[in-house]
Amino acid sequence: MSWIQIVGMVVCVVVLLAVLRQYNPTYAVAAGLASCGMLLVVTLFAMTPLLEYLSQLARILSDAQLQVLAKAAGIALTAQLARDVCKDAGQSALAGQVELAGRVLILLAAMPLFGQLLELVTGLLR
Amino acid sequence: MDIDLVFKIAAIGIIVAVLNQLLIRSGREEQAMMTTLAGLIVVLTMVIGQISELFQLIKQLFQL
Amino acid sequence: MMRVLAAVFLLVAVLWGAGAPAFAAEGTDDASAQELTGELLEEPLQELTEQAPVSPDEMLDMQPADWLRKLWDSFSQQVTAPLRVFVRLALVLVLGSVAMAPAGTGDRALIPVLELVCLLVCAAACVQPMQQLMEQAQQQLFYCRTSLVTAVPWMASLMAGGGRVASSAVFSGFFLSIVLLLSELAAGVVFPLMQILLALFTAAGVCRFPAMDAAASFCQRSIKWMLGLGCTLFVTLLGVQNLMASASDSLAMKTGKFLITSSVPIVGQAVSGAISALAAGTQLARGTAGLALIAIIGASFIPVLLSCLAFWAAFSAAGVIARTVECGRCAQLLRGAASCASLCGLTLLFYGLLVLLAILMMMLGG
Repeated sequence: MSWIQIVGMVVCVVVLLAVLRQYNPTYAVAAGLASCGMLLVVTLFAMTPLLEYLSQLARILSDAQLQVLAKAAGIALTAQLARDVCKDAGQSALAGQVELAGRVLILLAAMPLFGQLLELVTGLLR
Repeated sequence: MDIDLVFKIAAIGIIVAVLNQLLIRSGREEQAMMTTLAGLIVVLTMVIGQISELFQLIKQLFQL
Repeated sequence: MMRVLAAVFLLVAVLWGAGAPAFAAEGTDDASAQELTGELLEEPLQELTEQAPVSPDEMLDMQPADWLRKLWDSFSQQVTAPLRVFVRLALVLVLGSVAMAPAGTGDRALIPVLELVCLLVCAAACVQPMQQLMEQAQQQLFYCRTSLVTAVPWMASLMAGGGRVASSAVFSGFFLSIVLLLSELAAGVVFPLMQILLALFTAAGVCRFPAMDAAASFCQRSIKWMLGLGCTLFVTLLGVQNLMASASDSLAMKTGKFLITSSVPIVGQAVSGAISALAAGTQLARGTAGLALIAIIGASFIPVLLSCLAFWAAFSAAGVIARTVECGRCAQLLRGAASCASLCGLTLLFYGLLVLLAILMMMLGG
């Protein structure tokens, strides 16, 4: 999809959502979620060649650490989406909880890295 | 995933709102509520189908 | 305070050095025994010559273009490991920036966590190569020390056979003990301190306590101070054997300035003074046996120094990328790793230059 198409689509959807909110706020939330998801899919498809190239490089360097980084990126992306949809629907408490869960999960995914780094540093100090 | 989905949801939403108003004005409130719920379920199934595709894509790309 | 410390060091070293010439005097009693010991000890020097990449006479006859070509060959051998480290760091930073971009809008609440993950990966990618580099440097120091311990008694016996008994005694006793003292200082104090510095930089990056940053910069300053002190010590002690009058005078002057100001930029000028003295002396000493020793030891330092330089370049470049990507803590960590690599290189450079200069001064003296 070209950039102009994307921008035009977003503008139309925004106007549509403004109209929907007057008549049926519930459907405005659902339509907002659907349009966010669609835009994210478009972005990810556009990013796929770059990510494939980077993962090829990562395989050449034979690294499990970059996988942790990719995982953290994925968790951050989805947590951000969920948080913003909750905020738009007026549920800021839920938004805060989703964000907390996202942060905890990212730290959990980074646990093995902490362990590796600690081993390296104690090896230095021995 | 396409922009048609958003238009469909918007269309269903507006139609359901109009039907709601008509049914309430003509005094059939339970049917109004049932139409609303039916419309909501249809919309949710459409949205959830597409959102699960999105999450599959993210899982695959980021190896979650 | 620093002058008192320097004076104490001086006293201890002179006392220790004065005790050592006793063991060299035994070898100069009998002429025939001398020749025998000379032959026996020549073998270690033969081994050293075989291990050297280029023969000493060739080295003096090479043109600058040949020097550059040899340096470039050595550099391209040493550069693969740092290059791989740099590519990995750049990849990590780019991925991190891609991950942090969507989290940059709104409340930016997820960014610290993502930055932490990025930092952990960077740190793990920095620490291992630096550890290997420091081990390599320590091995180089050890090699230099063992080759000196093998070759210096032989050279001293040669000099005694040539009639310069007193200076041979001083050479083998005093000089050897000073070199051993310096290498003990480097291996026992400077290198462990550098390892501690690297660990502190990593911890400071991950934890974000201000105390850790202060501790790391204090450690860095103390290493630089110790390097300067070692330089001062060596040059002041060698000033007793005043041979290269102008060069050593300027060196003594600069070290005097160092004691007054005790700041490190002086050290750079001392290095250039040492290099020019070395170059002048090498031309004068062409053809002597000691030149072989100088050439071999000097050539053995070059690969490790180039490796240090390549690692410093890799870490600095990665730090620039980190700053572009706006990952400030990563940039700090990478700057710390770059300064560790440069300190490692500086230590080796000083040790090598001082040892070579001392050998030259001993050979040409009376």
